[in-house]
Amino acid sequence: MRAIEKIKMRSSSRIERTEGGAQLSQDSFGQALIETALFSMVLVLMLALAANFVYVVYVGAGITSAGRQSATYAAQGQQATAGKALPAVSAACQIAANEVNGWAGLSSTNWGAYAASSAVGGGSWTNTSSCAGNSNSTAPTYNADPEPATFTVNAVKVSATLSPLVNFSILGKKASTILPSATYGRTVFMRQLN
Amino acid sequence: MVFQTVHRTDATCKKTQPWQNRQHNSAPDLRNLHRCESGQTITVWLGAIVVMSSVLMGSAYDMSVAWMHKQWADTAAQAACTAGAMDMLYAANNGSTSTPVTAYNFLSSSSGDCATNSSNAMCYYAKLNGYASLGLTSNTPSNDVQWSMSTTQPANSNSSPTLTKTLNGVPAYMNVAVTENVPVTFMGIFAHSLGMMNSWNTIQVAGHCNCGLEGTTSSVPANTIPFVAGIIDNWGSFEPIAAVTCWSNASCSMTSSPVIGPNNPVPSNTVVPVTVGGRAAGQGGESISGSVEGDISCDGGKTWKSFDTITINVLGSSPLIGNTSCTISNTNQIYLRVAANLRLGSAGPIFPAGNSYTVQINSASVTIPGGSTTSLHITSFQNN
Repeated sequence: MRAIEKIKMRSSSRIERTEGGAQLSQDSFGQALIETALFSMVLVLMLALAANFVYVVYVGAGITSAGRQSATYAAQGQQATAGKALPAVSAACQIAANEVNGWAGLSSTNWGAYAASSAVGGGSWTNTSSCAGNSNSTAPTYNADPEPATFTVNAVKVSATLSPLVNFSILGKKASTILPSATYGRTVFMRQLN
Repeated sequence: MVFQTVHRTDATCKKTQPWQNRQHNSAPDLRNLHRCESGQTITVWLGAIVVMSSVLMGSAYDMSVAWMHKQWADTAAQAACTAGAMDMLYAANNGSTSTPVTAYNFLSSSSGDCATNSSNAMCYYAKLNGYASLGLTSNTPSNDVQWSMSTTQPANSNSSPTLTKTLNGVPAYMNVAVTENVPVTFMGIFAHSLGMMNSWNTIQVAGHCNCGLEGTTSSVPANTIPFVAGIIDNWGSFEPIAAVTCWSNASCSMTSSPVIGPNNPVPSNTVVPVTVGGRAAGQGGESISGSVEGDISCDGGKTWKSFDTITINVLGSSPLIGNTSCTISNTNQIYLRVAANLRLGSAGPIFPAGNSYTVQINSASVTIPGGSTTSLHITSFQNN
């Protein structure tokens, strides 16, 4: 009799183990699903933030490069180039514009370039050119050359107001309304010998 | 996953510890075991992700900022180097060893640091481009601009010929280095949390630029041969010569003082195109006849060849426009002159007031008004 009860108890125990294992498996699948979903949301959010940050860095580097290329070009004239005529400031401005035009997230309303040059002995910018008609196209601050009777100054200012490139939504709010927009601008000054 | 082996010990879970069940029943309650451990994985993973992503993103942020500062430093170095090269060019073109303003002269020095001596164009333009160069302070946001001059062409330059010095003895090359201690945000926090309290407040970046004067066409920054001034004096001397020597039906020959071109080193067999334009004329009611020819010497005035001859036999003016070229090398100079064989009806200049004479060497040209004493400074010309 005791032997029979033992057998029944063992059988019952096996059954309970089997049911418990099945339940454990089902719960694990559910937990993994929830975890994956939560992780995915966090990862996607992090990726979006990373993409927006990289975008800001990329545009910032491009604007720095545009100003440098343009100002270098603007200074190539007269004695520095075997007497060739000095490039027009509009051409210098266009150099900067060509560097930036077409970038994702930038349009004529949120970025601008401004080139300016002074004359020998002058006290302000003599020639100026704006390449994008918006509030970002303001003239760079005038600075005279330390030897103004011989040299002149060329300046190129490039700036842009940046919004999140990946405009994701979180809790019903767009990233563009959560993250602040940033205005990034650089002015490059180069010297020129007339 | 190893995290799943960690068992919770909170009070709630103690009530249903599987080994407690096992004391009363031979089979452990795996469902309770699972409930006790549910959430452990996500908690640990979330913690790990937060920590790791904070480290990675913080480091990425700091490195990105440092990289941006590197771009700015490069720009400032290029602007400063260009400014210095412009001074070198000015000195070379004017046969000087000084900058136009003596207070900013650096050409007699071999190197300098803007933190201790900022009276020069390099430091000024570095400052305009954001680098005031107050000197580097360890572990503190700061920057410094240093420059040095050299007679050796930079290794990364492929221009030819190599200039060792300009004609006035000033080295032809220079280097500007902009160094900056950029403040770091997250990397400093991580370092401090690891006990490195005095480190990682800043990360150092540097921008460099080599520049100078070169003999061939290149882009940045100053791509001209530094020519000394070519001087033409007293083109108006024609007038007194004509008036005195060739008075009243006299036949005479006269030659102008030559226009002397630059004599800076150029590559061997450099071909330089030359264009001369102008007008020769009698004046008023005074007749003039004869011929005027333009001559060029490619060897410093030793030998001459005519590149254009015009016949003058009427009142008024006749054009003198010629095109020629010189093959020169090293320090040979180009000389230009005008030779006239004239018969004058009466006194009068052959380049009277109101007319002009133009000398053009490539794209550089100067117009000399007739009837006056004019000094011509040919600033530069391009080698083809």
